[in-house]
Amino acid sequence: MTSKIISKGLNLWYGEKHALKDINLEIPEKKITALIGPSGCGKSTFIRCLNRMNDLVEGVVIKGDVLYDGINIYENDVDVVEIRKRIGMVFQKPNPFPMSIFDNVAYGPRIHGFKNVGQVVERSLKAAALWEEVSDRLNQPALGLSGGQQQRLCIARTLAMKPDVILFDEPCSALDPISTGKIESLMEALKDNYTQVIVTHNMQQAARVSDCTAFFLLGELIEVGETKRLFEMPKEKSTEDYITGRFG
Amino acid sequence: MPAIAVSLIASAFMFISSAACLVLRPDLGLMVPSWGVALLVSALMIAISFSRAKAPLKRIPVLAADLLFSFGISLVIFTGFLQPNFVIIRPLCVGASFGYGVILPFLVLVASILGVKDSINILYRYSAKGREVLVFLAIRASAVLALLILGGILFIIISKGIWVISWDFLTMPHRRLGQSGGISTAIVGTFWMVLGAMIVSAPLGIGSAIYLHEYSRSLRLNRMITIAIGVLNGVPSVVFGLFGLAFLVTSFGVSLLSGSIILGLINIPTIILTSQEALKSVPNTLREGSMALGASKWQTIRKVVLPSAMPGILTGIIMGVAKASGETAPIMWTAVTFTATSVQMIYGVIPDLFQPVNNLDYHLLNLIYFLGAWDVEARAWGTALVLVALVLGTNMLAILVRNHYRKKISW
Repeated sequence: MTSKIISKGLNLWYGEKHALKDINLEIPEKKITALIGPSGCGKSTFIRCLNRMNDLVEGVVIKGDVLYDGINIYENDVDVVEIRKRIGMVFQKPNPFPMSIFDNVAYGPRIHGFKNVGQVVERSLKAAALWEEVSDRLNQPALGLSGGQQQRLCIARTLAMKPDVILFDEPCSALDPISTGKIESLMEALKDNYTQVIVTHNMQQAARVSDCTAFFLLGELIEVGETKRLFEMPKEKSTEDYITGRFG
Repeated sequence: MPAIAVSLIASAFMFISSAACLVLRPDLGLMVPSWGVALLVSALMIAISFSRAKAPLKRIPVLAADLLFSFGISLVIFTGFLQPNFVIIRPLCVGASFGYGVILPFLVLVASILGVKDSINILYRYSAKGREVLVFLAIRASAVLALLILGGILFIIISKGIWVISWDFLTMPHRRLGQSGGISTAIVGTFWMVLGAMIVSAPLGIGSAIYLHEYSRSLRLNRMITIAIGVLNGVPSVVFGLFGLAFLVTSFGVSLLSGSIILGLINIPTIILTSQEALKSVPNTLREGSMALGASKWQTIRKVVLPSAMPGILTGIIMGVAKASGETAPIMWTAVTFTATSVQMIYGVIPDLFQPVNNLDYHLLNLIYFLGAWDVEARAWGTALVLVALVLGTNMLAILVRNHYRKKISW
């Protein structure tokens, strides 16, 4: 099992607040890694470090390395645009742009000057299991879709960039159970071709979809391991407390 | 309780009629005896219902004072103490005198408000509910009053100005110092000057708003600029006029160009503030979504943020049009002359920027100056009507644009 992304001694401060403390984590290639933990434990902050989305936040200081295919993405000469092209991200709240369905998916390819945008859009929508539902109304505004469809559109939008890593930041927390189920089976289907990382509040979801699970608490990585093992035989006391529902 | 109903009706009648008389100042004539009767009736009904309602006794002194007031006014009316020639000349040495036509309706107005207050209090037995009804009544009345003021102004302008509006009035230049002919020079001049102001202010205003909201990371600089914009927004427009006189007229002369630049400068703060609001309303998740797809900051702004903020920005620009078309002071000595010809076009398309122009506000101002000397009143009202219609029209347009986009974009 090779590692796609390796974080080494990653520390992050929001101003005075030390939000991530010395995180060492390897994310295996073409597997789904779940990050779990109570609110404010740093799991979302961590996932946003993996494609440098925290650059956009004011007053953030990051120390340590994040190696993507052996390259430290926090080196000065690394092109952030290239990183974000390769490492896509799906957010908590579906955030389609206020334009048509087609234009939403074509947004990234157009910006980066891809050829055959039409084909890319169709392939991405099919890969996101949305093509059947929207193929007859590609020119309608994306904001007219349901929440679950919007989220799959956002996934399609990310797939259109031909990334090899997809980060999901609580992708289902704004969705109903049926839409959640669709997203989960979509993640399962994408597993063969993409390395996926998912932050989730929902432990059942982590147990259902992921191969590896990492448990965060108060900015520290407490335990990481194969999902089945971590849920059945946690090594740490606090992991056990969390997954058995004693806090969180 | 029928007694309360009667007193409320009487009070309402007095309120509406006295307020109308205060505004319109008609010959009071028949109004006076009917007010006397209404005052007596409402006071009597309030007294009866109070005794029947078993209201708390400690309310009696205030109520008695109110009733005495109403009773006193009706006494004044019936004894003929207040004659139509009655006048209070410069009370307490203030600069105005108050005659019969103002004093009497005013007293009746006060009495009617007291009557409504007491009636409702008795109806609710002086409970908290009654006080709430009264407060809501007062709040609603002030809202209605604001509407009535606008309605009244519009009514007066339309009813006095509509008579001179004709195709010729709108399309012909004025002749004999505004005594005949139309106002075409003023309309054309206003159009070009406002357009020029927008060309000056929109790029600068939108640009600064984008810089402040999307790019600037220095909080201190941001705050300084924001304060500067606020101050600029508060500078009286005549000061901009003085600035223009000192720095623009010296190079460009009294001209369309000077006026456009000055009006543009006046508009910049408005456009910055409205554009900033519009940018603020674009959710951050959209920016993040775009950046996560590898878009640069400028691509994100141009393709996602600006289109989403456009309705708000457009609204701001249109409001700026309305504001710019209402300014007189800053352009008086820098851009307009009453006798200016219509805007001359170079090659038939480009307006000559270096000529003085006429303008609706300035035209109206001149007609008002001439009122004493010539018969231009109807034309002055007509000009005011065109000006108000223009401002109102642009405001309506702003609202329509906003609603149109609000339906299309929602999150």
